[in-house]
Amino acid sequence: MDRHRPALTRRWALLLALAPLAFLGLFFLWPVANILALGLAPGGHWEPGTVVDTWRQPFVLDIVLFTLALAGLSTLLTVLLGMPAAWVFARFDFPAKRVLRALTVVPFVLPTVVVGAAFLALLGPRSPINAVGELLFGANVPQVRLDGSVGAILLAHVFYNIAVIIRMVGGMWAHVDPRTEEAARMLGASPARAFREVTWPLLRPAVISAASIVFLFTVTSFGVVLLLGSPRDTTLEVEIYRQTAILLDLPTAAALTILQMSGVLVLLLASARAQERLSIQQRLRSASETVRRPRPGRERAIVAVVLAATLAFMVTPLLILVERSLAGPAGYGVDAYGALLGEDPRMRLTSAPWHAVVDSLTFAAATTLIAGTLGVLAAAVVGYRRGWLVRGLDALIMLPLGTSAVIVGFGFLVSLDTPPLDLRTSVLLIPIAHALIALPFVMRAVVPVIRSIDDHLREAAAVLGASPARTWREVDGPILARGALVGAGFAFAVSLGEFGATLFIARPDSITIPVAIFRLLGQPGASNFAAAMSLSVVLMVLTATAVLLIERLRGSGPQPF
Amino acid sequence: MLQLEGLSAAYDDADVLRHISLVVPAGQLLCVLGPSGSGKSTLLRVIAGLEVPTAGSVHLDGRDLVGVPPHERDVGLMFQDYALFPHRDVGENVAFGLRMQGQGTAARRHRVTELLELVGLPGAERRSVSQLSGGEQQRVALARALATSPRLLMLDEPMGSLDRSLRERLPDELRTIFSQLGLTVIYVTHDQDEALGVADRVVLLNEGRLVADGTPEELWTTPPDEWTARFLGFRNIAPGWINHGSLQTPWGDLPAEAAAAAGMTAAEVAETAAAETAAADAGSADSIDAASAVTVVLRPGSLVADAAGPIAGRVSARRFRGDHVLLLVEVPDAPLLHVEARDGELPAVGAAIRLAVLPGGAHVIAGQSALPFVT
Repeated sequence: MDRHRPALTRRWALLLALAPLAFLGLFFLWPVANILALGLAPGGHWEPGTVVDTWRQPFVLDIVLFTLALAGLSTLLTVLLGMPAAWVFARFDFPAKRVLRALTVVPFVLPTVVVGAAFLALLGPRSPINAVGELLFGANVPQVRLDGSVGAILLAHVFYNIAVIIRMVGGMWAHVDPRTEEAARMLGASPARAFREVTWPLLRPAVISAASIVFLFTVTSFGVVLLLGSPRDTTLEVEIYRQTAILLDLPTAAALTILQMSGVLVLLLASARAQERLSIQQRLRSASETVRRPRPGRERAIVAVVLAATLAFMVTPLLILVERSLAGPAGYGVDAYGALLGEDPRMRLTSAPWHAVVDSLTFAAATTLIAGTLGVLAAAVVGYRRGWLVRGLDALIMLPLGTSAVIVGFGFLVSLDTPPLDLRTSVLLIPIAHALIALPFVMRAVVPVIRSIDDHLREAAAVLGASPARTWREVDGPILARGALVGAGFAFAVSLGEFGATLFIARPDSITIPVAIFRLLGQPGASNFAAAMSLSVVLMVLTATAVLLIERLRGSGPQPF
Repeated sequence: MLQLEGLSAAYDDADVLRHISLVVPAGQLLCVLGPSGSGKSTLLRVIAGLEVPTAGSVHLDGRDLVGVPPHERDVGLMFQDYALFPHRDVGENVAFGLRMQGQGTAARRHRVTELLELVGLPGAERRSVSQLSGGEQQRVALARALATSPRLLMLDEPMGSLDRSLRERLPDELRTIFSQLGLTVIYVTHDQDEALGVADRVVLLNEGRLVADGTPEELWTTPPDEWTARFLGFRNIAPGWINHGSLQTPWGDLPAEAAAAAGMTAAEVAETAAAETAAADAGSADSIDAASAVTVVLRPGSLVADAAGPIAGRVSARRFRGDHVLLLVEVPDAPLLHVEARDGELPAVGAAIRLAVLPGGAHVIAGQSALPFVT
């Protein structure tokens, strides 16, 4: 659109950008600067050597290698297992496709703690496998335990991120002209060769883009590793938490944070470069043109098997989670849910778990307000304008997501402790941290909506006699409002599930559901495990409701990511 | 030689092709003509092996192709919009099939040069596909499809997205190339001018059925039924009766010579129609002598102003069409007549006019169809 006339003047854009910029400066850049200072200038004088000394310690190399290997393997597995499903959803039409596709997103939006708890239920000491074993062979049968293994973490990572592959690669695949592959077949290429020579090169940019997002998520994965990993298996993220919260060695934590942030930055740049280099100009087809019913026989069977396997993989851990929450010592019942209402000293929580539910919902509401307002302001600037301000603001808002929640929490801990910015005891601390993490989601939800508003609509309104302000109110306003609602839904869901940052900054007397689940899982006893399971189910239902509402509101509009 | 026998295909239980039987001799350029949704593309895809037929067989040079995967059929297909590989340059696109055959680099390069010369794009090897114009893309797609010298070449709406001047010029170039190579070609289009201009033989497809088959001249001069006549662009179509040597139409009674020069003489038509009527209604023998129902097609270029002509009407509109002027003539209780006026004084809109039909200007089709009476 060369003749695009910005619907927002430069002056207004700067004015609107002010609040998000101030927010990010105060609550992200300032804390990060404090972490840098802590690492590079411990004790107040400039000593960058100490950071390098920390990096040189042998345990750091082990952690870095383990982190990279874990993320690399997780990404590889996710891509391999996600591609068949991406293909099926992109190329074929089948009954209940919309519902099934919505279902594949559920794990991705679940809080990490719920995913961790689900895999603990599936693979841990109280798994159905062991229950059956005990039933058959008595209580002395050796237990099968897969938790505390790298395998469990890998499985949970694939479970969590497979939706990214299905959505992003499948989204591209649906628009690749199937005739290019057919043309290759007509020229003598076997199906495998046609895929390798034609479809794969056309999909590669989308695969790299999706894989780098998965890699980023798994490199900074915190809750899953903390819950499912053994103490030996430490990633950078977990080690930063351990150094800060358990060993209280802040300079080491700062040095590791600097290492991780630089790594993530390099990764983001490399991925952007790779996408630019590999991107191919191709004529995209509308998705409705490329889908078809699978042909009876072999094709239908393959599609059915891929769908069944994918959905089974995505649904089983969640079903087991529900099953475990209902399984008491005396058969099935809702005892574990009843226990959430009362105070049980064995839980070692300061108050009954239902308080955590109330607090979580309150925090989520506050987060929605903060992130919703700031996100819409930022989205207006990014969506209506272009140029350096847009690129800068966009990158700045995405940064907290890239730097990981643990770093956000750690930053808060080391920077917001001196007047006038002493927020250590403020109830606002958690919503602010959550808003920082939710902002990218809100912006990503609203910007495409703004950009999708056809200029012709505005022109049509103007020609019909609407003033510029009236045009904005009549055309942009209603469309924007829907986008804002979707963004607010995201903020709510993100806040409900946020774990890494909250673990750093939550006060003992006011904790969120994920933190409560984590604490319950850390306590011995069957009743605590059951309470953790039931609280996870509560969190899952809350998040799923929020996400379903988002899907409802969004309808068939443009997708974020 | 391509032989199709009772070929049927269906998508989601809806029939797309119904019992197509067709023999295409080697070296023939066959056009498959039909409206969109008639099953033309599906026919190509079934022959190519990209769709599985529900019934019937496909033989190419005696080889049964059922169950043979597309890449082993030795059939070339040029897709609508060409489906060039966007991640490969022109040379790599053309060489793709050769590479699949395992030909060496030198042989490939030689063949690519040869083909690009043949299609009029010499030296375009290193150009990017996205920089090509529509016409150039079509040439590259053609070169790519020709590279492996397939036994049969199929083109799906090859002029589909080209602008008018190219659409008029390129079919001739294609014809030249095909006859140079002696290729067997199936050419699919929805454009009757293109089909009639390029083909040795045209078959018409409607709702998955073959409804007409003949040379372009045959189809144009004697469309076998009303649907074909309408699809080929004839507008002056109405039910008529042959009665005592004259052709009764809603526009007026025409002399028998009007239809005489057509494929059938008026007498022959009357005979056929009468025989059919008799067969359908054996009880009333006197219906033979009564009116015989036919469908009359008047060619717009064979209608001329003539003060003594049998058709009396009023000019309701005049439209400039370049080499002629189209007159729309209203005749009471009859379909609007399209008349191509080429020379002479043009009547004014609203003027009364009398028209005569040149000999052979009327084509009669046996029987009256159930198609709605279009005015």
